Amino acid sequence: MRRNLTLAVLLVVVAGLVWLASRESQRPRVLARVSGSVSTPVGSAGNVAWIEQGKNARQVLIASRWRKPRVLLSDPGLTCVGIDGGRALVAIRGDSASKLLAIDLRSGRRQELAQTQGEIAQVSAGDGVTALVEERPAAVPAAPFIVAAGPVTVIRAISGKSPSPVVVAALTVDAMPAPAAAARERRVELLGPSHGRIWWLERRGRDAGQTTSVRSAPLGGAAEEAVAEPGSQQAILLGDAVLLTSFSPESALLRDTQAVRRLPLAGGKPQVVADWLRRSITLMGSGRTAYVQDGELLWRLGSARGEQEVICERPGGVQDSAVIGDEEYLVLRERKQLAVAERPLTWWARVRHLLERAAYTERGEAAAR
Amino acid sequence: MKKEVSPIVGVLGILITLTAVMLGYWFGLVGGGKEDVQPKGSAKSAGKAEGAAAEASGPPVGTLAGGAQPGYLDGPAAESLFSGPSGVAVDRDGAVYIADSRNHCLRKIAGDGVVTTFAGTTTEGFADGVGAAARFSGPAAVALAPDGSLFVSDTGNHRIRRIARDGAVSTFAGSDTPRDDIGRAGGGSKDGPATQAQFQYPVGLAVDAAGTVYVADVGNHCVRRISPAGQVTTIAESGGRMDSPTELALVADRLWVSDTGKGQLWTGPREGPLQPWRPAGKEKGPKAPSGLAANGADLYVADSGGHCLFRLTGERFVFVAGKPGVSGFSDGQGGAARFSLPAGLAAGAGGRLYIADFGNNRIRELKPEAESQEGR
Repeated sequence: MRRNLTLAVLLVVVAGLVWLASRESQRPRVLARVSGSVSTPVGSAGNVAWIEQGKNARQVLIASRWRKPRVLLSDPGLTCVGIDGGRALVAIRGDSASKLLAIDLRSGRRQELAQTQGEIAQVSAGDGVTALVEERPAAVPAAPFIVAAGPVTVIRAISGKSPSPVVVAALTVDAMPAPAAAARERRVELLGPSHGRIWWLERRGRDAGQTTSVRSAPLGGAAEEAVAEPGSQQAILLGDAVLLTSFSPESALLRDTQAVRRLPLAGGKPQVVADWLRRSITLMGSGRTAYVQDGELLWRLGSARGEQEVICERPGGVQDSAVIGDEEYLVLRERKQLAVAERPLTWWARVRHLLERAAYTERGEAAAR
Repeated sequence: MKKEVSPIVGVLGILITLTAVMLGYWFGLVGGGKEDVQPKGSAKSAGKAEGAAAEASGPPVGTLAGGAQPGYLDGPAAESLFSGPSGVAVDRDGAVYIADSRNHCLRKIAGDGVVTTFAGTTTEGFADGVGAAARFSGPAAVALAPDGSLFVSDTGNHRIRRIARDGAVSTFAGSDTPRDDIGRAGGGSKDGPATQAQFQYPVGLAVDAAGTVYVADVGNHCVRRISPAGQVTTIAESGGRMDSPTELALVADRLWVSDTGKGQLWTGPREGPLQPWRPAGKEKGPKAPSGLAANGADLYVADSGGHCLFRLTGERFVFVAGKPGVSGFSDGQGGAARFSLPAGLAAGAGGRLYIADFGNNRIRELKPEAESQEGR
């Protein structure tokens, strides 16, 4: 009798510990509480930066090694921020021109890297090269049918060899007003510099007629198309490959599912590395590891299909997130706070993932019938 | 006597409880994903059907050439592809000329329905020459001259080009302007001899019987006039300033201008001054007028912002086709047809109207109601 009672108590204690461990491991530490709107955080080598629009100020904040965030710069014209090792790259829109600043995170010393006519909307650095995307508005905004006077997207690069920015590509963007659903969708998504080239995702056309391709160009050379994937919405540069979302070959019957493919930078055919993902996911990565944010769940993608695992579950939902160096840290943006998660693994999230996948399969079969 | 509980039973109990919780959660998830489906034949759909029937009146709109996707393909009109057609003109033989702006070339739909490229290629540039040797940059509009030559507003090159009947492309007016840091010419503003004059994003064109060419110089917010002797002057305005003049039409001795930015028309004698024009009634007119085409005493107006067509009869706007504020694609009678950013217009023989349906990458055709009724 006593033996059984001890066993039962032990069982309850073990179950409790497992439950507590799972609860604790999925609770990220709060990094900052925000009062206004926040841009998508960017991270690298233990630093995370973001632009916060408060009631009276627009600021770039940075948190290093999970210490209390500090204001790096305050300017009403802040447009985007990036991190390049020990310095932050900050773009500011002025009255007649925009500029890109590099701010040393230790000394706070500022250096102007580039000045552009249009707004600097994206910035990315790697391999000793800084790439930026400049958006020039239409010359005649009232008449989108005047193609020659339409908006232009300019991709530029700054490297040690050529400290003044060189034009990598100047793309005439479709002047057609985007439908409300795609209003936030960029026509050019900068992936970054790698292997001596600048990589980007380019969208053309609209709705069902939209074509998406991954393109790249060497500094001072002509742009080439690496791959065209219909339905691709996102892509990231990860090590020696580009990961991109596209229609799922397996779950193609369901419109709200998609796959992730891996395209080696050296060339070759993209291979599926993950499937059965929702259309609303966010793909992100750092080093050699890719993550997928799918509503409440955060997944880590392995190198081959089937290795994806749910690593974190946030019942309140995550608006967006960023991976910060070491491949194991994530910054999550939830309603009014930014939090750091240290790659927690929850068994309950895994169970939910399995059950959700089963539900998707069932709906897929129903759709097929 | 105390009854001993087996540890296996205890573990099984916990497992069963966990399974029950999981199943409940699962079913909750599945249930939450159900969609709300509107039953067929509901009051809402019946109302829509009545509305559709009311819309389906007016002149029939059809597709002359182009397909669902933007592209570049010559051949039979039904198989041809365009990319952002923005200007259209039609000659006495019924051949339709198109400024295929994103393809940087000029296309022609012959009377037999075959589409060909008669000047330029899909490569952007600037060069005079015959046929494919010529280069354009985003040509936006075309207009036929009385001698059969075709004038082209070569918008990205800030020039007016002329294509002779033998296909030779020459520069009629405009000159080099400073280039920016990405190599794009910015345009300029200069009157004088045609070869020295400067334009900034010229778009709409009109040519009168004497050979005078009128240009909607949208970047300079004005209308320019090129005399047969080759002198460029700026037509004066009174009663305000134009914002974005994009298209032109000559009706009798008056010049009409679409000011897409201000959402209004301007008119006046050919030599100017041009004044803002306001309709007599309170009917809604075009939101962002673009293409203009004189058809007898009437003036057809494409509304690029409202995705529909109007007719100016006397002092009033009359709605013709499309659905104001709704973009899309469908052929059909009047209000049942759908356009997406209709840009250039041209009036052909028998009252036919040709529309450069920019957003749909198609050339559309509107037949007069009388003709369509005869054909039934």
